[in-house]
Amino acid sequence: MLVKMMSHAETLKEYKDSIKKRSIVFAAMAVLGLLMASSGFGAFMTHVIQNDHHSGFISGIGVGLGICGVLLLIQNQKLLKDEKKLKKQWIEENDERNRLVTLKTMSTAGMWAFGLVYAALIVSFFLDMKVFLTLAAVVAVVIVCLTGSRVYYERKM
Amino acid sequence: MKNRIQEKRKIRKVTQNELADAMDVTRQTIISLENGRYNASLVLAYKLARYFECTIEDLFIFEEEDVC
Repeated sequence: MLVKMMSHAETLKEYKDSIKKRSIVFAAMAVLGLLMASSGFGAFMTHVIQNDHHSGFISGIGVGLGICGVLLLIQNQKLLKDEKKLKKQWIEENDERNRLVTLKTMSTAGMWAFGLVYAALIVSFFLDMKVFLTLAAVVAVVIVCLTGSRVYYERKM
Repeated sequence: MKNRIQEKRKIRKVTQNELADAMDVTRQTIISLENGRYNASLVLAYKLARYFECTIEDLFIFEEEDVC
């Protein structure tokens, strides 16, 4: 979704080029996933990492990333071979209403998530200092990202 | 904002799918435009006006209550 949002193609030719670029990203995702999965399984088998949860976490993320990368890569290759499907997908991604719906969805979800994290931050102050500091760091990062985005779009538009 | 897209489309005997294909948008966008649930961007308004060979003012009805 993030990759789709970040690449905006005005024409079908531009979209075809962006699909080719995306294929490289998805191939890298698949390779990274494979590496993570194999290192996770390797660590589990050789007991290099004492905590089983850590190796399970790494291999789980790796398998997920690898499967997503491969599936998206296959989908992209199919699109590049079929002009009709490519145009349909381009319209689906480039449609102004769809883009607005996605932006509003992300904005609303982001504001709700931020509000909930802020509420949790206040509650955690009375319960656990570690959780409080973690949530404070999350809130700080979100504020920095929001400010950075605001400055960027104020200058761009 | 009200519009005459459905009226003009029916006069031309064009389906929502055909209009959507011509405008490079989804059929859902055409449905939302016709229902007045979504206001077209300036670019889409121009494209629609060109397609129906009329002005934007002919296609979209601006009312005082549309002022935000």
